[in-house]
Amino acid sequence: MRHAMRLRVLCLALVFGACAVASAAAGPVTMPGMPSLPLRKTVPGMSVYNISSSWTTQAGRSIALSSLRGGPVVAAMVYTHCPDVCPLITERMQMIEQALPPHARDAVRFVLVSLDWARDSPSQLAKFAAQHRLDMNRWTLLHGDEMAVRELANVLGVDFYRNDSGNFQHSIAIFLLDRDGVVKMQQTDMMAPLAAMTARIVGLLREEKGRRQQGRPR
Amino acid sequence: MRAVRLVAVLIAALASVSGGAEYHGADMAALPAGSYVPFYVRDSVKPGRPPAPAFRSVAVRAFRLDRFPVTNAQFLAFVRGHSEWRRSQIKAVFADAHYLAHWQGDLALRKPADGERPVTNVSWFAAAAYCRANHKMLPTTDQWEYALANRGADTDAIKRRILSWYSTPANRELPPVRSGDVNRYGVSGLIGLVWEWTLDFNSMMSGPDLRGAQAGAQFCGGSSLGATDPGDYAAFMRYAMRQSLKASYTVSNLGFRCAMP
Repeated sequence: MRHAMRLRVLCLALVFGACAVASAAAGPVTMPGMPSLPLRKTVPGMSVYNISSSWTTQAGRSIALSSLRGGPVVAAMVYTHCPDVCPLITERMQMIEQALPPHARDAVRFVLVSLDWARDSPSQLAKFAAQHRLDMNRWTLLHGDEMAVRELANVLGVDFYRNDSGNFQHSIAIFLLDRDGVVKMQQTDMMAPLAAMTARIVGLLREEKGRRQQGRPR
Repeated sequence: MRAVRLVAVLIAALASVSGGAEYHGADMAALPAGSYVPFYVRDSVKPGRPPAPAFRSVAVRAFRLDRFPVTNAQFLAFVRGHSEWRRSQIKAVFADAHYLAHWQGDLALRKPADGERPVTNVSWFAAAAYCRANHKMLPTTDQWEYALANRGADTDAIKRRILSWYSTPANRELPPVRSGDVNRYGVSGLIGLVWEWTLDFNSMMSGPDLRGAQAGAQFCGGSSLGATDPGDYAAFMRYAMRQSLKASYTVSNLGFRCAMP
């Protein structure tokens, strides 16, 4: 029994090891098969990437939010002990992922940021990713300390309340950020047609392509 | 001999470092652990369970709280050292257009007397950054309310004073921070000077975006029954004020103070 368990843990470790290597190799977000545009030195004043706090990925890598710069990001704040709403948000993001045309899908980063600074360690986040079969070529899960979480939640406008037992009540929203981290869309209705979000993502990518063809840096 | 001198220098250096740390706590009051009854009872988050009983008191651990709200002079010293928080430099995502609007410029107050007045027109982000730079944090709403509750002293007198303050026109000049009454904890000016940011000012969850788990915390209709003392209009105003804020807002009578564990 214990042996079987250990074997399973080993398998998981191997799977995550592979993911960690894959995401490390990917480095900053780039669109496969496309030359990336040079990024401006500073981000717009309304960019989420003005936040300088440090975060840890499910693979244990320390990153700044600004390392997500370069492509559209679909993001939400959740916590893994969440009984019903957070799995719903996650599934909803996976539906967006699946509904995108393949070329767009690979250009988007899907990011879950944990609200639960106390319990959602990187390994807990990795477990959650496995449970939900998240494609780690596209997904990133982030753990931060209390102030990092509060700061990001306040930038995005995610209200939350953490009770004595460490559980959360929180507002529900999926955010679409452009390549510079400016919020372009916010979906609070988990039953809204997927096309609203996917069309916006495709639109953002098309704008990018237009700029690239004109060779305009931005 | 030289080694001895080196050790002495090291000890002196260490002493000055710890002296510096003490300095941060110098103008702070130590509040003992205790409990208080918040104005508003939050629902239990556990699904399928009935809401928490009313009149629930909340335990608060011992902590330290600035005796006074942060002054313009103190905030000026902060932005001198942290240029990204100056009026001309701040990112739009961290503060609205009225950030420090009552100052003469990036590094200038309108008059010297403003130095001793509470700093206002600061966003939550700026307030949190100031506290962090001083190795402190914003107080939680529970900590702030616990300090105000003042071990139950003069509850009715406090309510009366709050209401008379609330009815003071907002365009008057703010008094200096050291002019307020000192309570039993040694904390001054919690009421009568400015409203104050708290770490979790927006944690009451009255937004429209809630679904599922008991999303009750609202101020209107049936859920206002969650108030522990519906007659406490002063507290109602305070909670409603906090709830109406967004972290980038700056308001001419909203300041802050910092806390430490």
